[in-house]
Amino acid sequence: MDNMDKEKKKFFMTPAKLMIALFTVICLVIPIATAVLPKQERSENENRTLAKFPQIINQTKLDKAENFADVIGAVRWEDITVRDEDSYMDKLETYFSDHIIGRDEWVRTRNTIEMLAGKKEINEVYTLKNQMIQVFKDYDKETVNASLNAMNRFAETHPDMQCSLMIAPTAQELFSSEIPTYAGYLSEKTFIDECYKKMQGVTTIDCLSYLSGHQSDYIFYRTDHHWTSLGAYYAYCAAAKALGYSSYGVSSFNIETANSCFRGTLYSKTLDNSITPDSIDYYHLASGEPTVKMTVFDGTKETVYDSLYVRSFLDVKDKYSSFTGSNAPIVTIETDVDNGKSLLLVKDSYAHSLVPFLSKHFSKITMVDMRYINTDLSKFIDVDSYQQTLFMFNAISFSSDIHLKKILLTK
Amino acid sequence: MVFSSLTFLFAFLPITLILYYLVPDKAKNVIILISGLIFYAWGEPIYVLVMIASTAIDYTAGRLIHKYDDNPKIRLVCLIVSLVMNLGLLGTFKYLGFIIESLNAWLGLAIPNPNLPLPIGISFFTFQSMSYTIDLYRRQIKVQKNPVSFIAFVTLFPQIVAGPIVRYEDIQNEIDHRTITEKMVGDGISRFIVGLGKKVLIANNIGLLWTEVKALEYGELSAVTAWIGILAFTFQIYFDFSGYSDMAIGLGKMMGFTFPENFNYPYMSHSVSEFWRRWHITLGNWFKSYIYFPLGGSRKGLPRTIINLLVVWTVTGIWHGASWNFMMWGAYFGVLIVIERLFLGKVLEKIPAFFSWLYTFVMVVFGWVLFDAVAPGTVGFGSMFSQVGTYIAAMFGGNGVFIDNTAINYIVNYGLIFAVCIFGSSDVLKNITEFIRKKAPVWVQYGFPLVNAVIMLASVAYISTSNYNPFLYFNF
Repeated sequence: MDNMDKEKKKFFMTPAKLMIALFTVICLVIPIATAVLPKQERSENENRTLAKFPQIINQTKLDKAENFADVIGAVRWEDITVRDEDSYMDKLETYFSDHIIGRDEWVRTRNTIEMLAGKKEINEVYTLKNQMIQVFKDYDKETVNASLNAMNRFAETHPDMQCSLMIAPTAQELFSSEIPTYAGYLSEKTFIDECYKKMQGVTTIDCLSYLSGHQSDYIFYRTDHHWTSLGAYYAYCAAAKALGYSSYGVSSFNIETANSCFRGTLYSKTLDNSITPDSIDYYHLASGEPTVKMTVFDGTKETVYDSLYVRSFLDVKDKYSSFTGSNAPIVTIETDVDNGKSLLLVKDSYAHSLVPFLSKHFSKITMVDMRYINTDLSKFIDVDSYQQTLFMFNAISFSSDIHLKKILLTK
Repeated sequence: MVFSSLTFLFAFLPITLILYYLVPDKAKNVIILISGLIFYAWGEPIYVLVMIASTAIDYTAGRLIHKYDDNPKIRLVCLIVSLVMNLGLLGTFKYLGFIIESLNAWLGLAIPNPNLPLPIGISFFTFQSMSYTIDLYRRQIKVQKNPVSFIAFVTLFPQIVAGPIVRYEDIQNEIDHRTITEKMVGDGISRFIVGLGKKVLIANNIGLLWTEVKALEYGELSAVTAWIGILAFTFQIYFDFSGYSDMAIGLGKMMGFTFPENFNYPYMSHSVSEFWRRWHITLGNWFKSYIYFPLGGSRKGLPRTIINLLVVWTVTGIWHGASWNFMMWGAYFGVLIVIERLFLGKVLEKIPAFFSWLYTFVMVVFGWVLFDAVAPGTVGFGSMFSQVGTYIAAMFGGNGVFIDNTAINYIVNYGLIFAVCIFGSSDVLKNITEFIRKKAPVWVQYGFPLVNAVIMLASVAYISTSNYNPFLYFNF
């Protein structure tokens, strides 16, 4: 025992003191640093505004207060007496967690622990060696049927229109051999086949087989749920027959790597830095690009560009949006391709990197995003003036799309 | 307020502790009182008034019982007032809705259900207060004349929401005179962090698995999935509840209190009776002292003993919640304990230890099916039985599938966490740490605080990121 005591004296402090010191440091440094350091208003990774410090007093009411009763009335009593999600107490907790110092590092720590504990899927992202994958777990059959019926009906009511459908696979299908079957993810191939079987009067475009033939190429981003320009190029080749053009060979293009530090939506879910960042490639025709005029209508106003690439997006988090800009209700592209062909493209964001290729073969392409249009489409465009319609979605977003059926509102 | 929140860890706790250590000893109970009220009001802004009223009545009852020491009638009236008030509160908030629904269902009535919300911790603080007036009536403890000390006893924030059920007897000396040593604070912090880790890192994680299994169709579960699901709950409830008790005991220690232990490796028990001596110990003791013994315990012959046991266990079941499955869960353990009392106990002592452990563990796991495999809001007796029955049938392969992809996926994703759970619910770790404390060189002892700090940071990583939610632009 004497020995132990002697030995203890050699140390600066007892284990109990060390515990107290560590606990004190953790419990003081985190809140003080959080309080003192500047706060961010937005989280780029989550694409949302972070919580503001909850106010217990309604400032406008307080300013107008004329007597004591008004002052009492300015207190948000319902926030502090009713215990629900809107309560002051919950808002304060949300504020703390939105602004805690080193928030991303805490997320990374948590995800690292999850990975170490054997979890393969984090926030619906399955991570392979150097590839993140958005997983396709389930879908509602009725939702999908409603979309399929809507397209069939559209084709039926526009007999002069040449309609086609392209459902693109996502990375999950292309990497399916590396994901164990017990993980229980659905087969996109089966899903696409089943959808295609139900189409009437609509030409279906099999881009899955085309992409599968180039499985080892860089056709899907590692950190984003979209396909790369090369992936979109193969889809463009797959669509050639249905849309009636002859596609350019890959060697006809000069490839510009516009950015090589792109970390996309899947990265945002896990913040896993071990995955190599992606490159954003632009494919320019070596023989010269057609001149384009791109008009983006965001629901209220129009913005005109003289390129399909909105390079300002390369400087922000959401670099994929540099392809024709971020999602907008209606984007009209007019080119100097002098063949008079016009295409109505009802789409999700996968189409954005496809459009630069298609633009070589059409005088006019109008991209329509039904997620942002809640009314009769013909209020904005003259549907019957188009010769062709292409419906283009990726399998996962199509499987949960509840907006496409609104196309039937079109008169 | 819950312990596993940022508001508690980084605002309430540091401020309370700093004030608590700074003020002179005499004022410490005032800090306990104020902090306790804030802590409680944070979760129950209105019902804190109910708690204050109930505390005031118990305090007054205590004073009167003491004052009229030689008047048995007044003493009895005071006791009855306290019991009626506490049980009345419990009855109104916890059981009224269930009673009305059941009456409506049986008798075809349409009595409106007031749908009162259940104030947090009401089952705990009413039991605590009652222990005071009953013990005082029995002359087992001294009266508390100082109202601040009395309210401090009830509102002592570490234990107010989920126990351990600290009886006045347990802390009657410490409430007015306590010494806080460096070792107590250090040990208290360690204990708190261990509890936090048990709750946040283990219970919440394995709980996700149970939530998933519970959402599946019971009539389609493979046998392995059904077992994995209920085992996940078995560990979730243990790590959640014992973690909470650890945090409470640790916080108590940091403030100079020694709370009673609440769990003693219950899943290592070799009989169901032993399990209940190791699981939620303070509740078991409460029922023993205030129901089982007053009923005559085991001193009035075998038939009375059996009836007493069944009564105590059924009441224990109902205490857990107002629904049939909790009552059945309690009665189930009553029956098992009676059987052990009759003959099985002797058999369990004789057979190899592994088999008595296995018997006990499996029985407890089946108990958890009764406890939690029922959808919330299930009122009818029949509906409860069909859910429980389907689940148990699935465990025996009743759906015709032994193992499926779902089960394999769970094993791959949760295998390691299960291993941690098994390890953590045995006393192996405790034995290892005790060995290190006794035999290892002093510098090794410094590893404990470091490991605890890591557990704390890992827990913060989970608590602070629960609303990291990058789904908004996923599909766009």
